[in-house]
Amino acid sequence: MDIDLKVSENRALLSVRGSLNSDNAPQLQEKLNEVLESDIKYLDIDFFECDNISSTAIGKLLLFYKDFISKGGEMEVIRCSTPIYELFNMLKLNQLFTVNLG
Amino acid sequence: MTEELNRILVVDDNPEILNDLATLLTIHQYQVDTTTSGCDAIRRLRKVCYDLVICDIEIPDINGLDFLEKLRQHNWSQEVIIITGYLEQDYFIRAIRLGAADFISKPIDGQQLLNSIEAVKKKSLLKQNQTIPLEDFEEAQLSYVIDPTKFSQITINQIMNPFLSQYLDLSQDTLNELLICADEMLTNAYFHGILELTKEERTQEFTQLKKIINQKLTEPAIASRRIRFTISLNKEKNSIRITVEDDGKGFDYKNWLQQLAKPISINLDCYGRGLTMLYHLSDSLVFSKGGRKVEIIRKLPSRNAE
Repeated sequence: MDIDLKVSENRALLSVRGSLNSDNAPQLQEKLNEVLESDIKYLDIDFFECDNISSTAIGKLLLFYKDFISKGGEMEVIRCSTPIYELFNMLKLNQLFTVNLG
Repeated sequence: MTEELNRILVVDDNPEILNDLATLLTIHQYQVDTTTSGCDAIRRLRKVCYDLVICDIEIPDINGLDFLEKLRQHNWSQEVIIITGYLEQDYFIRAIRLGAADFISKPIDGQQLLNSIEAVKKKSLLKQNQTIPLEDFEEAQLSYVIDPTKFSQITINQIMNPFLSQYLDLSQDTLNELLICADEMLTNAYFHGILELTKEERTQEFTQLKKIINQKLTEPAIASRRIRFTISLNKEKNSIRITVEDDGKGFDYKNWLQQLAKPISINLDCYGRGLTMLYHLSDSLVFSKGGRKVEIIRKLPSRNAE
């Protein structure tokens, strides 16, 4: 699994490749904490090359989401693989933030 | 890899080349899909078990070698033949390191391509002879007893992938869903069953959580508990069963099952999402032994559907 965070002024792009499971969810949390501690206002997430995501990782994402919007941030999944798209729809996460299919 | 190398995906930005290759390969009884886009190729590879990918080195949205690298990063094992207009040494070396099966230079010589596919076919048949088809068994099973002090060293992909690939050709999507189910089941058994972590403890920052876990594992009553993981394939039922049992105290699973049957609502809470995912990704979810044992059954798609 590989996570990349690119920041440009107040916007960031977080790209995840491979399997985001319980083992590596802390790495996701670490990157999301970086976003929270910065002046980033807009976070785009690219899950197109993410094969699967565990509930632990989704939990980290949602904990971040709560903190991020409370400080005025906006988050969007700019593209994702079909399994992730279906999973986010199933869990109704697309009602919290925009989730685009890749 | 199917018994006969049969299903081929061709990736090239030139529609004329795609059309010519599709015609050539179809005449020779191969089942061919084509795409001009690397991203679309990745989408298709998630859905379909291709035996071989024939890929141009220059496609608009991704370099052919980067495409090959992505396949390897995802642990997708399809053979890849690279088509290239130039055979520069650096490209060649990188492609070899990434495990390209062969190179075909442009303009494409049809017979050379067919010979190359034949060579890949022989290689894949050799690999197949080292695997055991599920057809030969009524049931195949793999079991592990896991010591919680060693849990962090275990990667579920490393346990399941070699076992499943020994018997089945599963699409990447199906395999990923099974991995997610196993991951959820094992994580629940470890955090809730064995360690009995509270919601507050689970949501701690990673370093703090690790300290809590290490502290818990020093308690002999916790360290002596075990997790039993079993995965089995049943030919007659055409299904995979995953069972996880822990030595913890169990939980009120009946209440959870009632909640799972209700329509899903937005859940920002930390509890229950894993069970929801298990419920929806499996064909059957059964708890027993007071919630200490959970079993899912996932029916397999027919070979043609995969």
